[in-house]
Amino acid sequence: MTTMIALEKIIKELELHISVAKGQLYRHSSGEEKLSLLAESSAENSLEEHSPLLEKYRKMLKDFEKFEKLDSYSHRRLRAAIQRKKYYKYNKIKNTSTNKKQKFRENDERIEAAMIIDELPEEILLDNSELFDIASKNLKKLLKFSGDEEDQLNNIQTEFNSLINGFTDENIKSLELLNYMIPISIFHFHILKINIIEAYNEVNTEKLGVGFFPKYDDWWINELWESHIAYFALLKWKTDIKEKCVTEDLQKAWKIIFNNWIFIKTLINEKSDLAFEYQYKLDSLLFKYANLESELDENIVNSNKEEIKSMIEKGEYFAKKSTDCVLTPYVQYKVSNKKNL
Amino acid sequence: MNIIEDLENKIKLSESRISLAQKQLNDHESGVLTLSMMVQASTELAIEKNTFLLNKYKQKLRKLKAKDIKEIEIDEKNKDFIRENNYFKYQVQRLKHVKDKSQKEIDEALYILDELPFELKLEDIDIFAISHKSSELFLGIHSDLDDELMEIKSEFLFLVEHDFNDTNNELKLLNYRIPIVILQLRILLQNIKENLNDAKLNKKKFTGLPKFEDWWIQELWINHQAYMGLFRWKQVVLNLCISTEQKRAFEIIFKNWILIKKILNTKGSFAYFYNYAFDEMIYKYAELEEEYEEINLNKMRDIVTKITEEEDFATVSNEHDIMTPYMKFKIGKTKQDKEDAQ
Repeated sequence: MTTMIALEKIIKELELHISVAKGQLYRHSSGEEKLSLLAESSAENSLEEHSPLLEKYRKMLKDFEKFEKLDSYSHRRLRAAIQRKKYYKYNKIKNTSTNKKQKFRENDERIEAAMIIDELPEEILLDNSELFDIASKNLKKLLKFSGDEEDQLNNIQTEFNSLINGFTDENIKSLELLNYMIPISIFHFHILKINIIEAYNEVNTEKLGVGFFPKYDDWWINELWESHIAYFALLKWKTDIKEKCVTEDLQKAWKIIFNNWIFIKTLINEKSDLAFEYQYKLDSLLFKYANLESELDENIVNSNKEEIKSMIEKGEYFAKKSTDCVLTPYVQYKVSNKKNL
Repeated sequence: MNIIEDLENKIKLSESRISLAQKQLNDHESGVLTLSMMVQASTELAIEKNTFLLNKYKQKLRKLKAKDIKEIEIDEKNKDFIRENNYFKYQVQRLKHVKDKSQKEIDEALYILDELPFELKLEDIDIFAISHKSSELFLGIHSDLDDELMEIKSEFLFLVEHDFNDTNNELKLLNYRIPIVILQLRILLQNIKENLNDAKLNKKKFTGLPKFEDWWIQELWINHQAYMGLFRWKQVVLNLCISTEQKRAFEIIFKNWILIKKILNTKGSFAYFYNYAFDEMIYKYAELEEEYEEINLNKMRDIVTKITEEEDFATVSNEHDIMTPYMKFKIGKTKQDKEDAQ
């Protein structure tokens, strides 16, 4: 399998050599560009040397096609891997300059290859009804649905697909998992928003408007595991929304939706500027369907940070005592399962 | 080129060598040119050697011309066939002993040769050209990783596929993510071990990844001590990483792992079977283990409580920046969208 991809690459490079030489000679003979004697003979040599090679390797590839499908699943993944790798090497959010200087060792190549493996074409084949099942079954116990929810999810999915269809970058289009998770997440936020407003307004005289989700700051997600303030900011944001959930079911639903959202945002964030457009589409739809948005004003983001900082200094959002449940129900399950083995 | 032509060329070559040597000797004798004793002797030797060859070739040519031309062609074809057959028959042995290639280049060529369908025969030079390109693109690494991923994925799916129902079928989406995280951690771990085994780096000894604790995940968004437990755990693993590349990879793997674990934790008992399969697989392939001894869990809780008390939480990392690259992009894009709408 690697042979075919290598052959394809060799053929592409030969084609490039030949077309450059041909172009030079053509422009020279038409008087458009003057080549020195040396340059002219080097272009002629290149043609002479590369043309028979190209023919030979094309024939070889054809012979191969009798034994292996040219566009198999594995081939598409390998092709995508070699394209994506270049990007990963030189574009990473952090330590960019150091990394550029660093000479990559052979064993680092394996890490690199492993780190881009989630971007290779994946074949997740779910039809709309399966997607709907996934999106609704679990939350149906916790949230009220209006009846036309299957259409709503379909609409969101269609809209999202049409937004990302225009992307030129094949790698991001192949983030199949996210292509499924995102419409579900937007749909969940949409239903949650309606449910929270309805339940809240039923028991409170002060009414909740559609834009009740507080704005979040992008760096909280970026630095969740690096800057403590980011953790507390997200914790506060999550708690503020939880307080709007007046029933236990709503709170449970919010917990699930929050975790899924953080999951999606983090996955996209890791892709850095390769996925900025993609993330922007997600955010736009979240704003359209759930009035959820991020803060874009630098001054406000800064003052939010200061606010959280002073809250931390006062010890707000600190747990009052240590956990009283180191043996979680899952650990108990695990232990008993191991005993049974 | 057929044999007759080949012999005729050889005869011509020998004749011209003899005549050149003869001319040199004549010039020497007539005084036009002075040859040293040594050169004179070697010129005479050349005449002798080429005269012998010339006679041999002429005799062979006479014999061949006497034979039926068709018979010669068949002979030639047979010889060609045998030659070609032997060429491919002994290709592996030959490639192993190519002198101007390194062992790595030879291994890569053998890998390509191994991959070829039996019916396809390529010459040594083409095999080296392909293996060179393949190694330049690290195709072997990508292809091997893909195979490993397939193996992990099918094993994982086998473990979980019978336990899905209406209450947990959304977990199916994670089926695609979990094998990747397992593979990534496995590769990182192998990488760290390889580096540590390196003679120059043997100061550190790798004793395995630290164990994680479920309550850190369970209470992540309730108790900042749980966050601290995870944060410290992550720092310990980061300290095991040697290269920047390894640290960068672990940052990503950690986020993926914790996000998946948190989603599974939120699903509670509906996802126990799935969470368990994930833990078992990541333990098998990447040696990541969970602590479930109550005594150790209690000890660690006390340690975490202590370090939490000492930690200054009003801090940010060295690379902190509220204006993330994405936020800058978003500001520009929002502005552009507004202008377009007007």
